[in-house]
Amino acid sequence: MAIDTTNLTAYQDAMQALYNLLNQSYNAATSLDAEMAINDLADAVSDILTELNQDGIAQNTAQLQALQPDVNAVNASITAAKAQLSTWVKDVGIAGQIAGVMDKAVQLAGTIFT
Amino acid sequence: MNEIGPTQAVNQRIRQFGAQAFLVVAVALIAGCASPDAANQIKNFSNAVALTASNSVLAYDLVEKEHFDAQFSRAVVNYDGVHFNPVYPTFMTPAELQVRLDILNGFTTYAAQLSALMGNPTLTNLDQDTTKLGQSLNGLNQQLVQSAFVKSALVTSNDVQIFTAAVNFLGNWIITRKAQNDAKAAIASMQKQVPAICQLLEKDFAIMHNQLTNDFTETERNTDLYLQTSYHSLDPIQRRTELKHLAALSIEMHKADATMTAIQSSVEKIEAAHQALDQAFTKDTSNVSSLINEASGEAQRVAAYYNSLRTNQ
Repeated sequence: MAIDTTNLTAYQDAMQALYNLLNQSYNAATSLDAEMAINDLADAVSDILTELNQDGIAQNTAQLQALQPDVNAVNASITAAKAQLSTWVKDVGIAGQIAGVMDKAVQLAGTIFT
Repeated sequence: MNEIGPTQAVNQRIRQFGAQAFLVVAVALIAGCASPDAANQIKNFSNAVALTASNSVLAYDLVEKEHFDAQFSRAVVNYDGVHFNPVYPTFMTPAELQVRLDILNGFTTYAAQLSALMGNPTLTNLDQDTTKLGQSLNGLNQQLVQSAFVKSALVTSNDVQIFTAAVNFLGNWIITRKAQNDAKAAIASMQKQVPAICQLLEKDFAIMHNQLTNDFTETERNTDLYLQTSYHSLDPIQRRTELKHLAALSIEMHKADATMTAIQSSVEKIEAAHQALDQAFTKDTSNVSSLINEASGEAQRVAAYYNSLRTNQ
């Protein structure tokens, strides 16, 4: 399994932007169910950010490879969540922003774990 | 042969004493007291470094505490009444934390030794375990720094190389500190090393700051969700307690955020003060004095935050 760290910083930035937008949308969610769904996704994104923040991970290919199953799982959650966004978030502008960042995060993850 | 009368003898002794006094003052000036308050400036610098280092250690504790709280808050929301695993991984491993503590101790020891060279009494026991610390820093290699200390997304391998060399140099300086007898020369020898160490510490704190913010928001979100899902099963007193907790979290988050910003700034100011520290030996010490005061003031603000945390507990 090949690892290319060229876009690692961009990927982390996209995941951080997604996390921030999810926090924002949690406070403006349409229902408790929507809040729970957003919270679950935000927790999963937070796990990836923590692993990326933990020291030396980018220097260590083995650690990055170990991260791949989590990245794959969060990518699946992001893709599934994108279809639900309009029911979770009232504000069309925020929903559009989240969808854009979701696409970017998934695309960048694909360039790292090739 | 001329006999010396009592008055002449007194005058001669006064002249001799005057010459000796002049010699003592001259030697003192040459030895590093060109500015009358050089010793005081360096003592203040040493105190600011010690306070910044102790604040940094408390910052690492704060990051770990919030990381635990975030994981715990999530476990509470997800608790199914059957499975509860109260063991949560720390953000840093003990080895990663130890590398940071050694570096901070090394920097504090260096500043305390500078102050001692200027004749100031030291609060730090410079002999106790100091050689061991120096050996530990001197033996730190690039691979260990890369795996335990920094993240390459923000730090290049060149940064790591410079940082490792700086820490090794600091370690060696501590080992040979007894041979050091000139504070001015010691400061000159550290002009490249201190910025390398401070700049990497600042980047490290930026990562810690990001983690702390993410963990706080996670705790806040999960606490809010717990309150919403459990609201009807809580009595009014429990509801009030949970609401108060949520309100306090928001205040804590803002304070912690400001404190992490201040710690990064504090390290930056220590670096700037050290770069100007040789000015302590000149007649005009206004610039270095102002830089040391800024570093000290920032460190005291951070310390006040930690004191308020202790008071609130």
